[in-house]
Formats: sequence, C-alpha cells, structure tokens
Amino acid sequence: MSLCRVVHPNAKKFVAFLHVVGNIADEGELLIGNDKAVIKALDPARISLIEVIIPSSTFIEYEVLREVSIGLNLSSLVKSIPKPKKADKVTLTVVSDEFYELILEDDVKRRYRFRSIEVSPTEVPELDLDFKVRATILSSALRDAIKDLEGSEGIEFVAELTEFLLLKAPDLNAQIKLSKASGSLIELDVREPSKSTYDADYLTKVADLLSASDMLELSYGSELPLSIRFKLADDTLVKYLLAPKA
Amino acid sequence: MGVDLRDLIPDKAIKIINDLKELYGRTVAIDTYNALYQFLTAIRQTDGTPLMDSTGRVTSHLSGLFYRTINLMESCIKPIYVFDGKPPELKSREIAQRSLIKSDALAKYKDALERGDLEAAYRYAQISSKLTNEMVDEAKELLDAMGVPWVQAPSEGEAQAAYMTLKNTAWSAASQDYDSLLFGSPRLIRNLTISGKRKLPKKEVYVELKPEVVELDILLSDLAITREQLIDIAILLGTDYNPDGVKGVGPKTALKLVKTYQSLEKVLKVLPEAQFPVDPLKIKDFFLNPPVLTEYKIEWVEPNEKLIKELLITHHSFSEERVLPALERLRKAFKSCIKSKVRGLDAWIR
Repeated sequence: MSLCRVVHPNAKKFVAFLHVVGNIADEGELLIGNDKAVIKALDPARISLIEVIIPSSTFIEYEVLREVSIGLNLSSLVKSIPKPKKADKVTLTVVSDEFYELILEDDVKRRYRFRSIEVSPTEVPELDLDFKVRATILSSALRDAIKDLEGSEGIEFVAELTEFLLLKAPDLNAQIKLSKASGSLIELDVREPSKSTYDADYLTKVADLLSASDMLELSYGSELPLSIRFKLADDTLVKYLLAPKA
Repeated sequence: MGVDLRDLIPDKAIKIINDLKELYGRTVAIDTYNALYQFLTAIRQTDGTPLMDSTGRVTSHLSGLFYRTINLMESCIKPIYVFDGKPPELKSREIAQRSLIKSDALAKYKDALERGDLEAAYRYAQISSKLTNEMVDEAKELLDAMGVPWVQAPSEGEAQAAYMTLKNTAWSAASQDYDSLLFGSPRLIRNLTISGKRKLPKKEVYVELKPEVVELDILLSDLAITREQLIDIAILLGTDYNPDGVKGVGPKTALKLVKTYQSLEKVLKVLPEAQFPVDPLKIKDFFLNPPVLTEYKIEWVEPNEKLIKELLITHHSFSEERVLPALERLRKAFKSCIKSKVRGLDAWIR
C-alpha cells in the first residue's frame, strides 16, 4: 500500500512547475498533506526561495494516508521526464519514504520511479517581512519588463508615489514605468518610499511562469527581499522570495 | 604532504558541496602552494609534460590559478590566496625527503619516456612537479592583475589561513591537507581547487571529487577530544615535521591512546620505543603557536585586463580565444559578486 496517490489532470502544467523550480535549484522538497501539495526549493546560494502550493481540489484524485515529504532531485527529474502532451494526466505515488513514482498517461502509460533524496526543510516566517511597498500588477506587464531588462546586473525597484512603480537597469541606461495610467499597475500602497535592487538573472528565472497568471502581488522594501505571489487559473498559488543586492 | 586525518573524521563533521553556489558569499583563505602544486600536477599533457609557453616555461600553475579563480568568483566565493613563507626548521627532514623523492621521480620519468611508457611517464612527471620561486612570483603577479588579494605568511600558509579564519577575515581555510584544522581553523574546505573528475592512478577509473567542508567543532565533539589532543593524535600518525609518525600506531590506536592517557606527554611514556626526528613537544607547540602575520590588508579590486592579457597572452603564449571569454566572465563576476553582492535570504528564513 502506498503512502499517497494523487492524480493531476494536467501533466504539462505539473511538469512545468518542476521545470521552473528546477531552474532555481537542483534539489527541492515536495510536501503532500491532507489539503495541499507544496513544492518548495531554496537555491544553493540561498538567494531565492520558491513555493508552489497546489490545493487538493486541483487534483482529480487525492488519497493521502499520512503527510509525506519527498526530497526531489530536480536536475535529474526534469531530465528524465519527457515533455508531456496536453492531454496527459500525471499520477504521483509515494511508494515509501524512500521511493516515489510518476506515471504520465494518455493512450500510453509511462512510469518513472525515483529515489527520494535528503533535503533540509526551510520555513519562511512571513511575519518577519515588514514590506513597505505592496503592489498589484498585471503579470504580463511585469514579465515583459523583466525580459526587457534581461542581461542587466540588477533591476532596481523604485516606489515613491502611489501612481507608478519604476524598474531601472542603470547599467543598460534603461527604465520601465508600470503605472496606473497605462493599466499595468492595478494598485500600489507605499507606506515608505523604497528602492531596492534585485538580481536580474534570478528574476528572469521566474518570469516565464508569470505568463500563466493574470495578476500578481508584488511586495518589497528598501534592503528587504522581493516577494512575488500569484495564483493560476486552477487556484495553484506560486510564492517567490528573492534577496536584495547589497 | 600534511597529516592524513581522513579516517578519523566522522561523517557528520563533513558536508559535501554539490554546487559551488552553496559557498555563495563566503570568503576563503586558500593554501596557495597546495593549490599551485595541484595545478602543476593535474594540468599536463598525456605524456606528463606540463603546459608550456613558446619559450619552454611551465604555465600549468598560471592556467589553473586563472581559470579556477574565475570559477570560484563566478559562484560569488571570495578567494584570498595565502603563500607559504620560510619553512620552519622542524620541517627540514620532510623537505629533504621530498627533494629526494622528486629527484628519483624525475629520473624515472625520463626513463619511462625513453621506453615509451606514457602512463608511467605521466605518473612520475606528476610526482616530480616542482614549484619554483619564479612560478610563485608569477602567481602573485597574476593575482595582482586579477584584483584578487594575497597574503605572504611568515611561515606555514595553512597556519596563516587558520589564523585568518579564526579572526573572521575568512569563513574557512581551503587546502587538501588537514593541517589548518590542527592550527585551529574552525573550518576547512577540501577539493576546492581541484574538484571535478579525476583519474585514479594506474587505473582506467575516474572519480568525481566534490568540495567538502570539515567542521572542527563537530569533529572534536564527536570524537570527544580537544584540539590539543587532535594535534597529539596527528603527531602519533605523522605530520610534515615527523613524516613517519610512530611505527604501528594507526588512527584508531592513536585516538585510543590519547583518550586513555589524555596527552601526548603521557602517551610517550607508554611508548618508550617511539622515535621522532625532532622533539614531538616542539611540534605540538608549533601547531599551537605558529608564527603568523597579524596585520594585513584584504581588498578585492577591479581586474586589470591589460595586465592580465600582457602576462598570459603576450608573455606566456596563452590562447587569446580562451583568455578573452574568461576575462569577460571575471569582469562579470567582479561586478555582480564583489562590487555589489546579494545578501542571501538567511536573515529572513529559519
């Protein structure tokens, strides 16, 4: 008898999560609880942390005997699994604390068995982060801005007024304005004027996933991490935390 | 060669580094002679000939130093190179022994080449590697051009690296040898300058060497000994100052003896037949009180690309095609990791 068996209706999306998380870290943790599955990874340099929280209601089958934690070797996992087709569903079975299986299924069934690796769990105490700026932004606008500033050493986020948020790349002599007037900025709450720079390479790594959402919440402050949160159509929540540049 | 403590170190005191980025933002005091010897040993052609420039001067040490330093800096590791100074008098026997081994290996290397035995030639060429004063000066010149700080130790480089780690100038000492732990470094990184795939001698087998961090506190508490007792064990096993150690005493016996009798002084009383080339208590005192430089300036500055090109391409015939992209990587690493750096999430996560 397995410890848990969950079936996600969209293998393409599920594997895309693994790819995005794998792009950030070689190892991650998958926690499967009674009401949600959480994929979590901290990159080796401990600069960024990503969490993908998939509610149990998103799965078409969700049988959990007890809460389990799997250590994912993401670098080998994403290499082993072929690109799923749109109609594929994926079944994840945790056979024991040591092994888990992924089955990709449409007309044919492809079964992959992996060994769970040891990863140290990381918790994010959200209350410790007293963000000074909170914004609601069109996901596509932030994604395009990050892509446009790709290759810079760092992207500086500047918020002084409540009308617009500036993204600057001084080394490229470029800046992008996300404003309420243009419609890219939905809401902006500035408790304290703040500017902080974040690594452009790390932002680029998460940019692709933004296209799967409509809107996102962005929070930061001077010398504070940048937090990006967004929900996908199926209620999956993605949380990304990125350390500031000194 | 240094003392070999590997068999004594508990697994829990060792952390394997799978990705150099795990050492992100760390400042590391590198035992430079050890690193340069590794480059001279490893960077060779199939018949054992080291890399050389158009005038026949060896350049393996410069190649290793240049490219490996860039690799480290790209992972935001901040290297400080520590050079050995005058070897202590205690080491004279070891130095004489090493010199004999190298001369013998050089003769065997030439012989193997004449016989066409390339595998043996490669092996003996590695053993006969010699680090000259000229090579050391070139290494310092290259580091200056790269903007990487170096420190000239008055005596043993590992003692200096240990002191700098104790004083929080560096997060860890880095060397293949364990001696910096005996000199009191709270941490030691091994395989930092030679990680990657390495061929086992006399076998067609390659092993992957990954950097590993050894934590002195965990080592001592797990073995339930003090640093002084670790030094006692090392002296029984053999150090650079008494290479042969005590005949018949291996790691387990040494640990047992030191734990039973508590100190080297008392252990020696039950080992009256033990012979040492120098007074073992002087060796112990040297590990506890080595000469070190207490005032030094550490600063990473912008790489001087013109000087690097002059040294490597103009003077030492390095390929421009390889050096230029590496310079680009160095420039980028300096800007993103040294000039401005990302702090990491440690302040906000538990």
